[in-house]
Amino acid sequence: MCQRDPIQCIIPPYITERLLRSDDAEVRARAEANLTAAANMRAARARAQAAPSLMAPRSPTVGKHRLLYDAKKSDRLPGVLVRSEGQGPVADPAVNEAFDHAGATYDFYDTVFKRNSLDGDGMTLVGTVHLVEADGRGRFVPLDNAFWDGRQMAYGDGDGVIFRRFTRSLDVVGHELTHGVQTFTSNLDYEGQSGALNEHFADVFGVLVRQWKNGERADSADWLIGREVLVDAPTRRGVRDMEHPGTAFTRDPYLGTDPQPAHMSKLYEGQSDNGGVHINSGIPNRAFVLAAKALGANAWDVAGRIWYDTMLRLPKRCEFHECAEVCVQMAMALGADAGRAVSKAWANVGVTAKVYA
Amino acid sequence: MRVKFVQSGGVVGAARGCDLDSSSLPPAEARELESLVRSSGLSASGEFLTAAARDLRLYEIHLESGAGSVAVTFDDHTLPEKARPLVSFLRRNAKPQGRE
Ligand SMILES: [Zn+2]
Repeated sequence: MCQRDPIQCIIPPYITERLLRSDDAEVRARAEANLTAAANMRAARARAQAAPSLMAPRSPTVGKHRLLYDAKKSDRLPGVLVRSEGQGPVADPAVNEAFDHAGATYDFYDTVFKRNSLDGDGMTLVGTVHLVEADGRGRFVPLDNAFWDGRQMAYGDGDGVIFRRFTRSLDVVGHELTHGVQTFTSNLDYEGQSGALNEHFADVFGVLVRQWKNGERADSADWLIGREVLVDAPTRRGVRDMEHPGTAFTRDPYLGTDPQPAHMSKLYEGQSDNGGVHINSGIPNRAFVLAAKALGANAWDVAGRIWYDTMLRLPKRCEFHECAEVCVQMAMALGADAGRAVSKAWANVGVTAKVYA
Repeated sequence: MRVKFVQSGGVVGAARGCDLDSSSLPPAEARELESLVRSSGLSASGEFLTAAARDLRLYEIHLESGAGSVAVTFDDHTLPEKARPLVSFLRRNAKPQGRE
């Protein structure tokens, strides 16, 4: 089935499980051999995933330390260093946006959760702007994406037709950096419901960085992700709407219609997107907004605290209901009313937390 | 020859795709597609993903021809250089997927 680099080759576990129950002895034997190979592969992956912490450049001041690079419209990371901590703004707005938004995200985690950078130990925040992609014919085309590569953030400039510079959005930068925080904490498996939770926490803390920076209260806050990365059009408002999943874009000529479900009854069960990690995150996203509104005040103070404590405690493989259970326990530590509000928020999206069942 | 393609993921998460049959394409496009498939070097099925990265885009390609079928999934960092021209062609033919 997989004939290339075993580290990057993932045999979906549900397929192996099905083969292990086969009536055919030969099929079972092959599935068992696959499991052994998968265990070896997981060990290799664990080593690969542990690598960032070993390779993370530590801030010389053990405080906020940012390094911004320019890929100069190439597809190579990290590129040329263009702004370091302590240096003032440069002429390039993409560099300043990535620098300032990484700074706001650092300040948010430091002030609200007393967390010193992504690894909790003053890791340098590395970002690259103006990354492009190769078309395989020696040409480069604009990158319509931003990502976390396991060690650093990278931002494309967008095609200028649908997408704008991905550095423009504070919640997108906060989203990418929160993938970094997760690398050093729960490190939720990036597939199926675990992967959707990984995406969910990235959206939660991405949106909270912005609300904290702008002083938006939970009852009147904006729950859109990535408004600023889209060229204005009546068919799109953002890349995700955490309060009303499935409504961020509608019949858009390029994006189509937002595929996010808002309830477990509409859970995506297909293969694409690692089993819908950017799709099914709509379900926990809505639970978070309902909880934040019920708990009131500033979402980062109460709901954010509960979700942060939850994120730190989840195992790598975790289903929505298991996350909800930990979440309700974290809320109950703040009081019975908070526990009930959080339990109700999850129940509203069709996820039952057994603590209150 | 039939080629099914889905691009998903990325921080945006909107899926696009196409399902092309060379027998129903204009001759010039059919020749280009067949040539790009041949030069892509895609001959064995598998999933090739970068474990530590988040928000990369995923590319599912399903090839069906007289020679059999091949199903592969790559991400931005594992997509082979030789398969990039094919993916560029498929992207140009892709339309939004999923809910209307
Ligand atoms: Zn993400």
